[in-house]
Amino acid sequence: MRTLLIIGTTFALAGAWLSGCGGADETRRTANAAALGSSAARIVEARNLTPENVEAALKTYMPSGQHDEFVMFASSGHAGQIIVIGIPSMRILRTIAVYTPESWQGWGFGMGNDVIAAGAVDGKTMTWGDTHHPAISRRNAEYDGEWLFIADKAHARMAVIDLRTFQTKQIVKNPIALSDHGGAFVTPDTEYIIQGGQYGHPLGWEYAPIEQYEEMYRGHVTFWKFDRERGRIDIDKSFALELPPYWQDLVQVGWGPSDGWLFMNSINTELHTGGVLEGEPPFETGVSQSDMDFMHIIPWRKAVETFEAGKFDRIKGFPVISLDTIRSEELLYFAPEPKSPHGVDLAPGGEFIVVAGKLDPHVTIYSIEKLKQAINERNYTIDENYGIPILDFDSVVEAQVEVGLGPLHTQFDDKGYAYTSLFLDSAVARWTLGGPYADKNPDQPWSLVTTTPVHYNIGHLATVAGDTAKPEGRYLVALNKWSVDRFTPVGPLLPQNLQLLDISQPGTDMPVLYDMPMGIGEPHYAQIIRADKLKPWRVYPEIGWEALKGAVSPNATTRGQERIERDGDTVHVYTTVVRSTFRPDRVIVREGDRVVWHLTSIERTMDAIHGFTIPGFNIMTSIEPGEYQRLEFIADKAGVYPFYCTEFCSALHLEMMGYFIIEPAS
Amino acid sequence: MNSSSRRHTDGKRTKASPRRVPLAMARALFAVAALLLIVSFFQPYWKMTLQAPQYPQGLTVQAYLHGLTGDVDEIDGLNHYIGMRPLEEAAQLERQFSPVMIGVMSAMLLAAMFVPRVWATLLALPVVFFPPGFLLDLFFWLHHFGQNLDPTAALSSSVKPFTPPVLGVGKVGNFRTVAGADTGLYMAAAASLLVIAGIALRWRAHGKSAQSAAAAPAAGRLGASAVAACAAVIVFSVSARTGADGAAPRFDIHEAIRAADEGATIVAPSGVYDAPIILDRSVRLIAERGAVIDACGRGNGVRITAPGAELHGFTIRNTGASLHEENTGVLVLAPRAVIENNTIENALFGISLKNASGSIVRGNTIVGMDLHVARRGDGIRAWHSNDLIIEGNTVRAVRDVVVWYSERVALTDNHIVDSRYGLHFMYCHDNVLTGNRLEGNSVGAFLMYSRNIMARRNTILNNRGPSGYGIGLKDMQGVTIEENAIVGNRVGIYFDNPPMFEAAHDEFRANLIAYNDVGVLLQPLVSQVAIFENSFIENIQQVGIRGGGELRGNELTRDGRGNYWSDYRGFDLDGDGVGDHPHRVEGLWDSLVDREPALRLFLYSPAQQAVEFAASAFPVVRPRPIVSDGAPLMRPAHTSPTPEDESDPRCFALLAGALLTIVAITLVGAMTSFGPTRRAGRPTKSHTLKAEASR
Repeated sequence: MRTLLIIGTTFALAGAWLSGCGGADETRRTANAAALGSSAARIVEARNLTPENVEAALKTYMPSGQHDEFVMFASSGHAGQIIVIGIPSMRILRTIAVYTPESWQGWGFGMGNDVIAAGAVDGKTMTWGDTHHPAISRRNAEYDGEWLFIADKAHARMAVIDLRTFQTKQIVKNPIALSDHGGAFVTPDTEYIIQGGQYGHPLGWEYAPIEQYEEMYRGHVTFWKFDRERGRIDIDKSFALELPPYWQDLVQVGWGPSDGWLFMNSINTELHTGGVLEGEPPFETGVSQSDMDFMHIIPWRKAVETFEAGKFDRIKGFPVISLDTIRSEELLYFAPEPKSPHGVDLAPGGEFIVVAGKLDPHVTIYSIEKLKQAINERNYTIDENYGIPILDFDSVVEAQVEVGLGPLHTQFDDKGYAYTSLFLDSAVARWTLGGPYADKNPDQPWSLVTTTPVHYNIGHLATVAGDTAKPEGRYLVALNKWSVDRFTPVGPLLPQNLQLLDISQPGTDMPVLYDMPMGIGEPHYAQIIRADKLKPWRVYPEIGWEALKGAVSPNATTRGQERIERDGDTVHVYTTVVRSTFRPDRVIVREGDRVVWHLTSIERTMDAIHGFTIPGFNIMTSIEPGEYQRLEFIADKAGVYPFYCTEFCSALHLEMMGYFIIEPAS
Repeated sequence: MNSSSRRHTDGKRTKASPRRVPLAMARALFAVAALLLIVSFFQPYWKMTLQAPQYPQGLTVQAYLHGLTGDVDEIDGLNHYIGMRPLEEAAQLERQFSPVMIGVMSAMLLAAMFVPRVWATLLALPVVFFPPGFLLDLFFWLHHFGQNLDPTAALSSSVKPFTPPVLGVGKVGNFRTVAGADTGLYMAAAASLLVIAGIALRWRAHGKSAQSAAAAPAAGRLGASAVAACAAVIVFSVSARTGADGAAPRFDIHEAIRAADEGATIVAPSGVYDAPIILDRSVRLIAERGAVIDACGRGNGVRITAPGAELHGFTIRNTGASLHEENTGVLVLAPRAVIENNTIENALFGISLKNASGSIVRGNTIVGMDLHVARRGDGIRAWHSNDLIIEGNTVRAVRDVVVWYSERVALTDNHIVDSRYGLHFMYCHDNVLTGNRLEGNSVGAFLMYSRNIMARRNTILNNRGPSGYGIGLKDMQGVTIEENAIVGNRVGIYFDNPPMFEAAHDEFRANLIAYNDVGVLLQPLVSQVAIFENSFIENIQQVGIRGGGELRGNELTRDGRGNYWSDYRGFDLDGDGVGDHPHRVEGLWDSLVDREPALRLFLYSPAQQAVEFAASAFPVVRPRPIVSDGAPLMRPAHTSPTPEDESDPRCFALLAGALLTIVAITLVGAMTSFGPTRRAGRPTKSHTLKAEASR
C-alpha cells in the first residue's frame, strides 16, 4: 500500500512537471488565447461576424513587419502594366510599368522612353498596351523568379521585365502580327517565349479584302528566342509559324511526357468573318456555330530545327515557316476540342492536358500518351480547309468530367486536385485528376468534389505555381470580372474583385477568405510564386549603375565630379543626387541648346529614392539608390524653370531643388 | 319412380352426383376456353385501316387489349388537325386493367371446373359476355372521341363530329375507314362458344340416368363439334390475318427527288434507304410505314438545303459519330422546313437547324447514341434560325437541346429526359416555352443573355447534375416564369440576373416549387425580381443566397399577396387567406446550411430543433435574414401542371377484390362439393366402412 502510494505520487509529480514543461511558451500562448476570448468576442459581436469570418481574418492578416509567403504577378489588362500582390494578405505591393507610361516610376517620362519607342507600330509610338498573361521564367518547368514576360494583345508586342529590379527592360514589336492573345508562355527552360496569335489577318497586316479571308488571312505563333545572359529577346534568332486563321487563343508548352510539344486552342474554325450590316450573323454568333474547334499541337523543337535549317520565308524581314512547310514537315496537328474553349492547361506531371469549352459543362482531358500514339499511328483525317491532320477524338480523350456551367481555365495543386473557373455559375470547381493522381487525395478520381461560389463572373484563376511541374496548392485567387455590390460604390466604372480562397484542406472545404477590389486595371491572368524564390536587389550594386545597360555608365558622376560641359550646341550636365541636394543646383544654358542631363544617385540606403522633374518639359524620372539615368531634351524657350525632387526623401525634401535657366538666344 | 330421391345403400352412384363423361368434357372445354382467352390477350382484337390517295398502302391501327400498334402516330398527327384527341388517351382504364381482367376471367373459368354447376355457370358467364362487351366498349370510345372534337382545331370546319363504325366501312374527310375484328376477338368469341357448350354440358350432366347414358356420347359429340367449330374459326381468322406483307417494290428515292418538280410530294414506300438523303429541291418527302433511312454509321441522315422542304414519318438511324463533323440525323440548312413525326435513333446529333428560319419540328422522337453524355451530340440544335415551332417532340438520352441566336421560337409540349442540358438558350429573344417536360437531366433549362422569355406550365423534374438547376437564369431581361411545376431538382430556380435595364422586371408567379434541395437560389446582386403566388413546399432549403449577403430591391408580394410557404408557422385571424405576420426566411439553421451544405442531412432532426432553440435563447451567432415575405399565403396558390401520378391505386384495389372473390368462391364451392354432406340417406364412405366393420 505504501509502495503504491509512493509510486503513484512519483508518477503524478512527474506528469505534472512534464506537462508544465511546454513551459513558458505554452503558458504564454494559452494566456494569449484566453485574452483572445473576451475582447475578440466583443469585436465579433459588435461587427456581427461569423466564425468563418474570424478564421478568414486570422488567415490573411499580416502583422506589421511580417512578409507574405507568396507573391502574385497579375496582369492589369488595358492598364498596360503588371501588378504585384502579396499572398495571403492580398495587399498590393507595387505596380510595374510596362507598355503604359507611369509617372511615379518615371517610366516613359525620362526613363524607358527608348524601350517604349522600340515597340512602335509603323513608326508610331504606342503609349498603352493590353496585358493579359504574364509568364515567369522557368528552369525545369518550374518558376525561377528571374524574369517576367508579358505580351500586349492590342499591338502584338512582347515585354521583358527584370525581376531583380522589377523594371521593364525590353519591348519588341512583332513584325508580322497585330493581334495576339496567347502571350506570354515559356518553354520549360525559357529557351523561347511564345506569343500565339488571335484575330486572323494577313501576316504583316498587308491589305487583303475580307472576302479573301480563307486564302489571305492567317494566324501565327511566334517563338521569341530569349538570351538569358543578356536578359533580352534575340530577334535575330526568333521566328514564327504561319497558321490557319482559326483565331488561336491560349498556349501551353509541355514538359516531362509532353516535353517538346506545344498546345494552343482555337475558337473560330468556322472561318466566320462577320458582316452584320450585310445580313450575316455577328461574330459572336458565327464563331459559336460549330460544336468543336481545334486544339493545335505543335512539336516545337522540330519547328526550331526547321527554322535553323533555313526552311522559311521572310515576311517584313521576319522568318516565317509557311503552311506548306508545316504540312510537309508535319509541324502541326489538330485535335477536336469542344466549343470555343478558352484554356489549355497541362497537369503537373505533364501527362494530361485539360480543355474547358466555355459553353460545355464538361471539361475534356486529353492524354499525352494517346496524342502521341495517334500521331505515330496516323490515326487522323485531314482538315479540308488547310490540309492539317485532325486526330481522332475518341482515341486521344482520357476523360470528361462535368464540373458546372461555363468552365474556362484550370490550374492544379499538389494533392491531385484540379481547379476550374466557372464563369456562368460564378464559382470555382475543385475536381480530381485520375491516373497517377488517384492516390493523392481521398476523393474519387475524375470527379467533381465541390464548388465554391465567387462574386462574380470569374475569368482565370491562379494557384501557387499552379501551371508548373511543382504546384504547391495552399491558396487560389479567383480573378473575377464583376464586383457589382461587393464594395462601396465608386461611380459607374467599378473595380474587379480578386478573391482569395483557401485550398489547403482536401475534400469539400474550400472557403473564400478575402475580397480584394482591383481598381487600377483588369487582371486577366496571374502567376503566384513563393516569395523566397525572388531575389530582388535592395539597391543598385554599384554607384552609377545604368539599369537598361546592366553596368556602370561611363557618364556616371561621383561626389566631387559634378560639372557642366559645353560641346558646341550640346550641354552635358553631370549631377549627383543625394539627400537633400542636387549638385549642381544652378544649370544655365542658352536657348536652342540640346541638353543632356546625367543624373547619378550616390545613395546606398534602401528606400532612399529621389525623383526629378523640370516643369514644362514633361520630364519625370525616379532615381533609385546607385542608379544612373540620362535625360535629353532641347532647351527651346528662354525662361526660368525650377527643378525639384518629387519623391519624398528626407527632412529637407522640400528644399531639394535647383534652377534651370535658359538664356535667350540673342 | 323418382330417381332423384332413390336411396341406395350399396354404394352405387346416386342421382345426386354428376355424370363423369359430360363433366370431363365440360371441364376440358372450360380449360381450353381459358387457354384461348389468355392467348387472345397477345393478339390484336380489332383493326382499322384508313385509306386515302396519299397513303397508297393505307394507315392501319390495331387494338390489343392492352394497347395500340400500327400507324398510331401518323393517325394522331392527322387527327389533331380535326381536333381529335390522341388515341393513347382512349380506354386507358380498360387497357390498364385488361391483363387483370383476362387473368381473373381465366382463373374463374379454371375454378369453375371444380365447383357445382350453379357456381360454375356464374363463374363462366363473364367470359360469355366478354366479346360483345369489348365491342360495346369500343363503340363507346369511338363515339366519344369522334363526337368530342376540338372546335379550335385547324380543320374543324371541314370535318364535323362523327362516329367511326366499329365494324365495316366509314368515311372521314377524304379517308375511307375499314374496320373489323381481328384474331384476338375471334379467339375470345371462340372461347365464349366453348364456355356456352361447357355450361350446357354441366347442366346436361345432371339430367336423367337413361338420358345421361345416352347423353354421354351425345355430350361428347356436342363438345367435340364445339371445339372443332372454334378451331376452324381460329384457323380461319389467323390465316385471314396474314396478309400481303411482302417486300415493297424497290424505290429509288434519290432519283425521285431529283426528278421531282418544286413543291411535289414524294411518298417513300417501306424499305431501307441509303443516307444521306439530300433534299435540294422544295419537296415533301413522306414515309410509309417501315420507311427507314440508315446512314450505316457514317455521315448524316438527311440534309436539307432547299427552303420549304418537308420530311414526315421516317425512321432515321445510325449516323456517324464524329462531333467535329457534327454527324446529324436531319440537318436543315434552309428556311421553312417541316420535320414531323420522324423517329431518329442512334444519331449523334438529332435535328440541327442552321439558318433555318420559319421551320417546324414537330412530333419527332429522338433517342441519342449510347455514349457517355459528354460525348453525345445535341438532340435538337437551333442556331441562327428565327420563328421556329418546336413542339411535341420526345428527346431522350442525348447531350443538350440548344437554341442559340434564334428569335421568336415556340417550344411547346416537348419531353426532354435523361440528357445534359434539357434546354440551353443563348441570345434568344421573344421566345416561349410552354408545356414542356424536362426530367432527369443534368440541368433543366438554362437561359442566358436573352430578352422577353415566357416559360409557362412546364414540368421540370429531378434535374440533378452538379449545378442541377431546374431553371437557371443568367443576365436575362423581361422574363415571365409562371405556372410551372419545378420539383425535385437540386435548385428549383437559380437567379444570376442583374437587371439589364431599369425598367425591365422579371416575374415569377404561381409556380409550384417543391422538394428541391434549394427552392430558389439567388446571387446577392439580383434585384427587380418579383416572386409571388408561388408555393414553396418542402424544399430542404426554401431560399438560398449564394455565398451570403442580403437581397435588396426585390418584391415578394404583389397586390397584398405573397407566396405559400410550407414552413410558415403563422396564423390568419382575419381569415383573408394571408398570414397575419411576415414569413422571414432566415433562421440560424438556414445560415448554417448556407455555410455547410452537408448539414442538410440533419434537417427535421431533433438536433436542428435544438439549434433553432439555442439561437433564440442565446443570440451569440445571429442569423442573417435572407428574405421576408410580408403577405405569406395560407394555402398554396400555384396553378401548375401536376406531375403525373404513375401508379393507380384503383388497380390494386380491384385486383385484391377479384382475388378475394375467387378464393371465396373456391372455398365455398369446395366445402359444399367435397365436404361431408347431410343429404338424406346418403351414407358416407366412412359410415359404410364402419358399418362394414361393425358387421
